[in-house]
Amino acid sequence: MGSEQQPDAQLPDAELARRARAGETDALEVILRRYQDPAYALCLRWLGDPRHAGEAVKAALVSFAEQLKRSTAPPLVLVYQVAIAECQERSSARTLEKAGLDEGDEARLRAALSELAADELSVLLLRDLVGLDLDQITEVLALSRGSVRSRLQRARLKLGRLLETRIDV
Amino acid sequence: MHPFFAINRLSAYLDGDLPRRERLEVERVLSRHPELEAELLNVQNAVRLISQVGPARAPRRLVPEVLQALEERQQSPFRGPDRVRNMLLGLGVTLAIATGLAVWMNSGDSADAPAVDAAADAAIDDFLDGSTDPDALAELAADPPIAPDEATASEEAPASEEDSGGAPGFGDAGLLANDPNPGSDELEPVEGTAPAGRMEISESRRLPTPPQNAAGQIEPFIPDWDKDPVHAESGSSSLLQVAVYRVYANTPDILRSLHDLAQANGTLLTDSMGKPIQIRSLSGGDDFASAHLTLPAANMEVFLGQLARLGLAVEVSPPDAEAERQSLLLEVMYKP
Repeated sequence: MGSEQQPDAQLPDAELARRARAGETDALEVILRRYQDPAYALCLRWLGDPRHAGEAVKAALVSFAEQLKRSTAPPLVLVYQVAIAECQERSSARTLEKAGLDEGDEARLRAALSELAADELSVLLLRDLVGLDLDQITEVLALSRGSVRSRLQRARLKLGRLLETRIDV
Repeated sequence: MHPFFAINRLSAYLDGDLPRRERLEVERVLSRHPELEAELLNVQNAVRLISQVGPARAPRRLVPEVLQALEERQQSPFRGPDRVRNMLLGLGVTLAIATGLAVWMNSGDSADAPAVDAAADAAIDDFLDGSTDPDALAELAADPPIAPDEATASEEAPASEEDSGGAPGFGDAGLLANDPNPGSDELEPVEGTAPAGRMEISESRRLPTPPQNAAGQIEPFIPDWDKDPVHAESGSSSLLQVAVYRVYANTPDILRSLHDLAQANGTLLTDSMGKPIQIRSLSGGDDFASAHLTLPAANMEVFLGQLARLGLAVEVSPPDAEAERQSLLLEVMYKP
């Protein structure tokens, strides 16, 4: 930060990616900083644990940086593809910890999210946590717009019911 | 609008993605069905909770650590993704073992052990670096630098490419992994106005291959009416599942499905209309399909009666006394 060679943080993804592919580490760093928070939040909400999320997002960003060099996919698409793949792999390898019912909003959310299927979770988190629009999600998940819409509908409905149940209990 | 459709529009309604007419329809249904209003409230709360509680700051050292990891990988002789590295390692070890075993079996006497490690390591390193000289490999094969005892020990070394842990791609083994027949059911958009009796597909779509039983027959979809009372209002399940089967089996022409279905039930759908029905658009996801149909207004009532007997829920646009033709939206939900 503060480096004179650091590319403008406002540069669009495409330009930064072009420079990163040409070997400019500073450009890569700007991209990484741009996506580190949402990618980490996605991993955290998916895996439910800061330590696992930290490991997952680091592995995801390393993989993202390597793939960026040879991929023509936009960074936004690639970074979430890699992050979701990382989360899927890690979540299938262990049992998610279930939160208690009286530990506040964060724990309630964690417990409810842990009950969603991977295909629901990916769409839901990309839309409501990361803030991608339907077209972007369509690209990240390689699904039709209709599938994204119906999965989002299903995931939201399910999450709403799960959260409601936890309030009532 | 039937509650069956309204509940499946709550998410889009919340995002403001519905056309004005559909939004008004959803609001009308919401005002009449408090259970739907409660669902909407649940969804709103869930979305709000995610947006409020969900965001998180990444660890402060994340980016420096990532850059450092990348730098270390650059400097490592094992450059490239793990999958490639392991594959090359496996090939290198296998080559060394195979040549060693082959010569040992031919010669019958033990090779010179001290020369083994260095030569084999060098060969494997070259192989990993991509700098293996074909002549050197041939020479290696002709004069294997490995002893039989070590060959058997090396076989226990991990040389599998299965442990690479590479991230699955979304187009192959990722989220579409459940599709046993990817690509075969992809439908491409068709431009222009569809001729009568044929459909116009509004967007590319992918419908999953339906589950099959042991006899290779497609398993029917059986709605869980008790569990989901809103869907239960849409009518008979025994007939609906036939229609769903048709869509599920990637038969793209819903109208034809209806026609077949109608015939199977002793009702002539199209023929009784006298004029062809035009499907204006067909769209679908992995658990639903919908079609916009246009047909002569005079036939609408007959058609709706037939659909009702088939157990399909149908949404009809507001009647227009002046219109000769009328539109309706037909939706079929199914579970993959």
